[in-house]
Amino acid sequence: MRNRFKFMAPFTQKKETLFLIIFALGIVLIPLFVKNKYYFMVMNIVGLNTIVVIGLNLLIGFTGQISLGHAAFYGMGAYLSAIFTTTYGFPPWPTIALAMIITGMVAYFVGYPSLKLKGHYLVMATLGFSIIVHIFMVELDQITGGPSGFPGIPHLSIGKLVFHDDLKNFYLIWTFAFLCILVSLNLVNSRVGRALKAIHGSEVAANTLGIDTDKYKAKVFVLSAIFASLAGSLYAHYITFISPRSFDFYYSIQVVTMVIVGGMGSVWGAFFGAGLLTVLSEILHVTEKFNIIIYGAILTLVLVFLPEGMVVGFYSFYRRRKVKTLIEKEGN
Amino acid sequence: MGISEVILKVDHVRKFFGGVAALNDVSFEVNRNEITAIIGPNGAGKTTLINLITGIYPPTSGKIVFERKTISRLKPFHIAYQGITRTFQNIQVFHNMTVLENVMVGLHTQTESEFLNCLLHLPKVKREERQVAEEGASLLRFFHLESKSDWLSSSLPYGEQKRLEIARALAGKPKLLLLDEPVAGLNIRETEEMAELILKIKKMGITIILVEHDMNLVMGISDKITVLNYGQKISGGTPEEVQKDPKVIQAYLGEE
Repeated sequence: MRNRFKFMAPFTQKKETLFLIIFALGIVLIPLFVKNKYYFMVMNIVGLNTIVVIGLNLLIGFTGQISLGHAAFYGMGAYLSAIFTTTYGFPPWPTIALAMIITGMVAYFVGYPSLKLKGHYLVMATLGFSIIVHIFMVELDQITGGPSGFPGIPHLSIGKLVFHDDLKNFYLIWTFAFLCILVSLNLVNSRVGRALKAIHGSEVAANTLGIDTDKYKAKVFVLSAIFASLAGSLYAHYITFISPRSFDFYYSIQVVTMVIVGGMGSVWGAFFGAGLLTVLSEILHVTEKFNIIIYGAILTLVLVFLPEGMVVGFYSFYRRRKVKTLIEKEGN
Repeated sequence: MGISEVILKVDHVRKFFGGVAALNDVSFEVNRNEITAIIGPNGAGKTTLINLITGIYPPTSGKIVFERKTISRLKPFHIAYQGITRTFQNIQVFHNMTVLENVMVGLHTQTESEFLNCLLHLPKVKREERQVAEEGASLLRFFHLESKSDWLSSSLPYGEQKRLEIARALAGKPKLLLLDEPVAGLNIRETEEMAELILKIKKMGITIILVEHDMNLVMGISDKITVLNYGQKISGGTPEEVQKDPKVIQAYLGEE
């Protein structure tokens, strides 16, 4: 009988369109009600994390491959944008695209060999890679500014419009977050998205149905790295100062936690996880030393009680309740 | 029926796992639009043979030819594109997806939208999506699963998961379908339904290789039978011929 309560897939496409509209309205309307600069800064960080986490969720939640190196791709986007625009005077927008391409290519060379191996080699490869990238950021101080960071990165602009304050960056970042959600929804509700989920379900079976599993895994890994690179570039141009500390191993753990807490295999879950944990870490600033413990506790609790993540978990809980009451009514 | 045409040829195939010979010099042919059963005691190498034909791993030596093309070094996904699909002994439906989505994955080889097209949801993708959803739905009707198309496949009962797996394999429009123990774990009534289903699939013009322990089913619906024991082919022919073969009787019942 229990099976009857969990028959539905999380969301239908109609609902997703509705959510997208609500989301877009939210972006437009929130600035009318919120005036506090600090809140905007937090929301902007949420937006950037959302972009990273959505990409990472395509990899972890949908395809079932784990990366512990997305801080490196985030950092690559930020540093490539910073170096090319500030040191060499490249125009910012094309540089963002260039950074995405370079990061994507690097991700391919890191991901493809390790994804061909069975088992969790990607975790090892990405972990090692992110440590190497971090060392480069610290040690190549002639180019990156070293541990003291890289200052003076220009703000982005379109014509005369310069994105120099938190509000303007809010619109900018969340427009990109919206686009990322949109294309991710497109992807997951398509032939490729189904193939990715199939790889998660059973790699062997997926392969015997004509899916080139190695290629798809490598491609979704590259895509997730490109998302992270985009977020990194936006971050660099928004804050105008970057330092290696923002792209350390802790950030990689943070985004993986956001994926798991929000909901693996749900695009909206990624947004939710990014929002919840970013805000939480802001609130927990007072207890900075214990941050990692609190993160660990949240992760453990979610994995034990809501293994599908909060969004999917609560949603199916709600559905189960609804079906249960329906059946009870029928019984009477 | 005229002279039957060979669709698949397994030619002196060996497979070693370390020092163990799972298959030792096995050769047989499968005729187009026939049901060929592979039988044998446990550990005879039946599933290994299916895994070799579908490219899960390559043979140590020998070759496998499908429609005059050597496929023994191809990857599984290439082999699917050649027109060979399969089911698994331990069901491998995608538990994280709905029933309909499972069948839609089966249509992968019939469609071609790649990453960029799908990300942007181009009109071509929309067309393909509609087509895939329709074909998936009609397959589910054929397998009497249409009322559960929105269910997560993990919530289907066992017998329906088996049917779903076959539906998914058929979605790829195979010329050759390999069924690894399709009635294992099913009750008598379900087994009869499955037999009818397999015969229906044969009528669609699809060649079938059947690995099965249920002798009533094998003798009832097979055109040809190949018998394996300890990785070697010990007999082959029509059900009548195989049943009379003393080597087969010996393999199953032991020597006096």
